[in-house]
Amino acid sequence: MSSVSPQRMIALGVIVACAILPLFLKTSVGLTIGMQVMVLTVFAYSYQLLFGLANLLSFGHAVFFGAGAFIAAHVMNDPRLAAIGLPVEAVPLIGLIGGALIGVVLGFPTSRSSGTPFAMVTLGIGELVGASFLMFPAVFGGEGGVSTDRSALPSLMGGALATTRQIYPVIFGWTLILCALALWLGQTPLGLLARAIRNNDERVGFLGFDRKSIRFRVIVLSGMLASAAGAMSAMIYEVVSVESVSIHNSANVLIMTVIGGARSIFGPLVGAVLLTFMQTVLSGITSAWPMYYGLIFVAIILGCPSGLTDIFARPQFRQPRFIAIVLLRGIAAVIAIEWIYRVREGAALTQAQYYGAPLAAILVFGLTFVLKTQLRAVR
Amino acid sequence: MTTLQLFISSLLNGLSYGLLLFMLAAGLTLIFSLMGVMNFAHAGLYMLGAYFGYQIASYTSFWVALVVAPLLVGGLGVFIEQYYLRHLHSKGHVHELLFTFGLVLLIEEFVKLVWGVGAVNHRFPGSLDGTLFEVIGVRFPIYKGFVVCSAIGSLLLIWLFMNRTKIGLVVRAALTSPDMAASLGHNTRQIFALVFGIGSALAGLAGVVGGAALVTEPAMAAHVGTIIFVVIIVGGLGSLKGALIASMLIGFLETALVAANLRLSDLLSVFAGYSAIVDAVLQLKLSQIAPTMPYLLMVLMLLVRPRGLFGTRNV
Repeated sequence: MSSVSPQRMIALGVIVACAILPLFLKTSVGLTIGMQVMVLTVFAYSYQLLFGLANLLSFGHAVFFGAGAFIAAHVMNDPRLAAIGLPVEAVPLIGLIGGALIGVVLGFPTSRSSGTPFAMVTLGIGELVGASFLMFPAVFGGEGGVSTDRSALPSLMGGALATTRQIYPVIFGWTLILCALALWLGQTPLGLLARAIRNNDERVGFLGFDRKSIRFRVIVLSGMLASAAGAMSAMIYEVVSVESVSIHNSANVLIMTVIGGARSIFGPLVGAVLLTFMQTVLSGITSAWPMYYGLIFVAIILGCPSGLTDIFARPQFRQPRFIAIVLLRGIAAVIAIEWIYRVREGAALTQAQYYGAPLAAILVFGLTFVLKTQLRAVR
Repeated sequence: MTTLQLFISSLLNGLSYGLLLFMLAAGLTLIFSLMGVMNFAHAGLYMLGAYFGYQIASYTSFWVALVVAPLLVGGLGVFIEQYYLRHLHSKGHVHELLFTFGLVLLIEEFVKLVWGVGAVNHRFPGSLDGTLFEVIGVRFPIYKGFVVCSAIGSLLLIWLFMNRTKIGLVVRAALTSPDMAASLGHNTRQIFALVFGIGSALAGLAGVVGGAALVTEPAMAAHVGTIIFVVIIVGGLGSLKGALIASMLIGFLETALVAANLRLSDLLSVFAGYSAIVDAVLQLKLSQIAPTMPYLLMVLMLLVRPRGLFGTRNV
């Protein structure tokens, strides 16, 4: 291709920005946040493969992530592997292999179903694995988790990757490889078949393809990527808790992928950035942040199911009045939520705040209804 | 406690827990059969029922809450169906599933926002304390009898409604063939809203009763939510009979395992001594593995009989 598409420009820009990030950040906190975004991005791309491509809505995807993280932690803790000189850079590769094994085991019962039953079955399996991890504290560390030390394994560069600045390029490199892999898989014959299943499941069957086998392969591949993401998280934080296999983690990957855009190229990246922003910045401002996260999720599903990345392509969002309604409702919700939170916590509110805030929320919310009737009239 | 006493007590506890599960599974199954929507928010409505019940009971009395809270939750269900779920129907079931999943998240955060993250003191009134009857030294408290009675009573009412009234006839027609019922001039949209409302009210009632019998906390929705999905898969999608038997089975299984003071090695001693991993598993107490049992049952069912106990089609 002679001309460069805007998507490639954006991708190139993001990659260059991530590559030169360590030059501008003096502290390691920013780099850690950057790496968290990377791990979540890989996790979200693996979910996109499953849900965006094959329409398999899984509520147990964290099983792969957590398993990859625990495998990585035990690999880094094993002195025998350090003795044979396994480089620390290869840990995500072991995550990939472990994910493939687990994918084969779990894919067998789950690939029979699709749609609603698949969602229910994966929820059950997610709970099963989450609960059984707590039963073996010797392997999974119980409530406290397993701690590890990435510098126990030698680096390919010689020495060990002890500091955040040293591990950053490794995580960045693996993120590039895994994201490229996820996007490439969507273009392969298998990826096209998965897309065909999404669009017309029955017809793919009539054409003589084995749908169960297609689903099985997608589950395994997606599980491999998720496990690699888990392994990367173990390398960064050097501690793995049972929380990583929990249903909350499964819900997180689902929510961020959907918010960003389950079928768009940059959707998982946008979702990962948003989740990280909420977890790190917004959680410091308000403890009601999961409520906002949930509200954004529901608003996206109702208003723009193809995700944030697609929001400006939708005709409603070209109408200023529609944008005004969305913003005003958001403001009303924020006022109401913060007011309820402060009243329940018994915070010191002035008379004006105590009575003014709910009144303002109701007024702003009422205003949106007036605007909405106007909107209909215009149509 | 002797083995017989243990057996009787888990039988009785399992009965009340299983019926509670069935109250939830029945509403969910009805909604699923009619609309094809697997309502994730069902367990969220159950939790809202418990919290509404707690709040109303704190102002008035438990008996008022028992009537008002389910009505409120039922009304909320109708609202959700009318204003949101209906418009998502054309976008496919997975989309509806996502929406109800988002809804349960919101309900959970709302509950945390209003009532805090800890458990609230939602209890049965004093008149239900006491013992109902005693079998060979096993006491059955009145409140558990009340759980059983309210479950059977509400399900009986629904059975009568479905089988002895004219609206019920239309509902059953819509269950079998919604398009045909609509073509014959019945307002299936109203029927959908009605069934969704009834299912939600049932969940709300289960919440008022179950919240008082168990514990009323923000995590109750997540716990019960997955269990009722297991019930429905094991019983067979869309089968009320299957849901009843599966809820009873899981009710008994969970209560019996929690009560039994045994280790796996006591039951499966033949497998001991071969490998370290197996020995580690065998060292677990039955009460420790109890939380995983429903899910294991589900996976086994999927492998052996994917359509569930009474389902007509494979999952």
